[in-house]
Amino acid sequence: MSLSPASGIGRFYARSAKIIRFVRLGCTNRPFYHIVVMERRKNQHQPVIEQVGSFDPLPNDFNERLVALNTERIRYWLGKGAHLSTPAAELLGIAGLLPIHPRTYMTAWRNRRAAAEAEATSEKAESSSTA
Amino acid sequence: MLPIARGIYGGLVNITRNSRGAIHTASGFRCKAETSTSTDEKDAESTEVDGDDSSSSSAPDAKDRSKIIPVETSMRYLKSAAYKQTYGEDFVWTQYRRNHKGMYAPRKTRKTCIRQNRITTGNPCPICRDEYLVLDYRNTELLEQFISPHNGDVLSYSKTGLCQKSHLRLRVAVQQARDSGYLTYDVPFREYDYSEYYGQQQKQKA
Amino acid sequence: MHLLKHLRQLNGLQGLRQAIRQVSSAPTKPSALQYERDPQPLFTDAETQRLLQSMTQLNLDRVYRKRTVPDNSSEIKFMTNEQLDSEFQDMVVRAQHMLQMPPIVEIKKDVERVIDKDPALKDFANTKYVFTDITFGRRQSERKVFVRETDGTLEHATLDTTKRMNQLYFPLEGRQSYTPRMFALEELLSKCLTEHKYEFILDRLLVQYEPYEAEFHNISARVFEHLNESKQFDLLRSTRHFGPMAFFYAWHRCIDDLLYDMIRRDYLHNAVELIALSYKVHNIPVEYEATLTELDKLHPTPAQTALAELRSVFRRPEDKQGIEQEINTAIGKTDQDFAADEISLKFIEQYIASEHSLKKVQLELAVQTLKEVNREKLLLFQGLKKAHGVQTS
Repeated sequence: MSLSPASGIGRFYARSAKIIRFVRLGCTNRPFYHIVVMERRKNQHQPVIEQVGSFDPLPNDFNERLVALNTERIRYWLGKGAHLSTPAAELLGIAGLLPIHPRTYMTAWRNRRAAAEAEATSEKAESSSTA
Repeated sequence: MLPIARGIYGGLVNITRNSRGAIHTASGFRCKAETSTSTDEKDAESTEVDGDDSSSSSAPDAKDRSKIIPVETSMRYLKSAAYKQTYGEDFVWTQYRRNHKGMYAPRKTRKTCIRQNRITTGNPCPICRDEYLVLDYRNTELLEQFISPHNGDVLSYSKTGLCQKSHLRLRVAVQQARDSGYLTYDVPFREYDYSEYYGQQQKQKA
Repeated sequence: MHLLKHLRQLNGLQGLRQAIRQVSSAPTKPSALQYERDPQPLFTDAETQRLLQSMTQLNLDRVYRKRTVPDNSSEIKFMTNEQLDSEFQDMVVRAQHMLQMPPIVEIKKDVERVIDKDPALKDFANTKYVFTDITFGRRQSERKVFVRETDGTLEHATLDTTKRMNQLYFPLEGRQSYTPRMFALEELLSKCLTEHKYEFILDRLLVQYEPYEAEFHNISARVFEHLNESKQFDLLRSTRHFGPMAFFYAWHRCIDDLLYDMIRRDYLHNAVELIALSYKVHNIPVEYEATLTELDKLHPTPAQTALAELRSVFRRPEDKQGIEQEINTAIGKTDQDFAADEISLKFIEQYIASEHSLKKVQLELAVQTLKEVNREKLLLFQGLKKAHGVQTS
């Protein structure tokens, strides 16, 4: 399916539920997301109402993940009462546009715990091998 | 027959019986007759380079392209009298004509003239036919011949007749040459909005 | 044989790796001459700008030289004289726009601006996130770029990252996302300099770097220094780089070579302006404004001369030119020019005699030769006038 323009071609009802969410583009093993506004009930590959950003989840040469956000339009749609999908809400939280999503804190805590456990096991292995 | 084609043909014929010194397409053949000083030097050098080759096999292959010619040699060749003799004031591609069946040439030129280090065609493209023309970003004199004076683009292969492989190498070389400043081009004009750079200072003053 | 081949390959690889390292780490050595304080207020000063513009001159042939742009088409139109005249005026305005000088500003330093620190967010991801605001209609300079580090700090991105993101989402035509080899490798840059490709280097510099970047200052300073040694100032005349160059020399007290060039080419008016500029930059208490205003009365601005040159097509050949004008064109100078020359020569000699000039002998010689040529011209001029019976006003 070819790309629609960022201004969007999706048709929508004025009072229908809208959502800010990701659309997975890219190809096999190379995800790339558009952050879009569309009707909640629609499939992600349907025409969108508006594209408000993009997100590249694979780190680049400088080891950074790139996110582009059209903050003006995002705020407009949030003001109109658009919903947020969880990944989108997490991303906006990390960007500092919204409060940090609880799930981000959970991931952070789990990552730290996993790292600590890995360290502990490696230390134990080291001490046992030396002894 | 066109003079250059005749020249090349003469050179190739000559090669079969003579040493490989005459291989820079016709130039050697014709220059020997006229004996100019710089061509002598050129010939001496090329025979010297080919020395071990010709001693091993009595009849060197005119279509052989296994020897890699350094860029420096090519750059000297472009300035030499031998080059002038062969091409005159023209570009290396002006006298070249493609062979094709019927009225219209195929849209694309052939994929490559050289396969497994040998010329595999009777009418190799302007770059492949002369082994002393080396496409490299340092060889600006050669690259400039392939750049349009009107819009600064690389000329199309439909005009120059280069094979697809040479054309790709040409485009790469031109890009590299521009990147390293060997070739100049017209940089797009950049317009400055002064307030982007001075704006805040003036606000502070006011 | 086989091993040798391998070795050669390895060598080649090493060379490549070195080149890559150079590309990434050291983009040309810094130049000796730097602006030690902010040059911007002096540069943007109205009088300085006027002086620099006047020094740049306006050669329409050079501004509108044939460029290798994608669309090089021309249009042929029938026009009345009035339409043609307005077209000429437009042309001069457009030419002045093409000569827009690049800004000279201080080197900007990176300032760390932390927005938020959240230790509970530590290790939320294994890489940092870079957020770019792509709101429609913002200018490059006011576009916001934030970075969320892995330890949970949210801060404004460094200048380098900001530029990279701007180039990624809003590409500037002609700018590369990597450092061009010409600027990255020292030997390539010096090769370009020795081949006198000054305008090309500077044009490319403008596109590749922002005026507040250290590389911009280093490379432009190097070009100007090299130019001062090779003395090919005419290559930059009537381009947008001449003003910054003159300003650079005035700032670093090395105007003498440029001055010599101007005197030799009989641009005395510009020479006076250059001296005045250096006085202004260094706050030297010499009265130059009076001379400048006097000269301005006698000399048209570059835009006026360019327009007059264009308008000369209106003169029909059968129109009888005044004999006086004929003499003027034959000699190349008018009464006013001779008067202006006298004033400017006096001012220049004053400068040469002062302690500010460094190459006195050379400059004096140039002034002497110019004076002799001028005297001969003046004699011829007066003689011709007398012969034709034109009254000297």
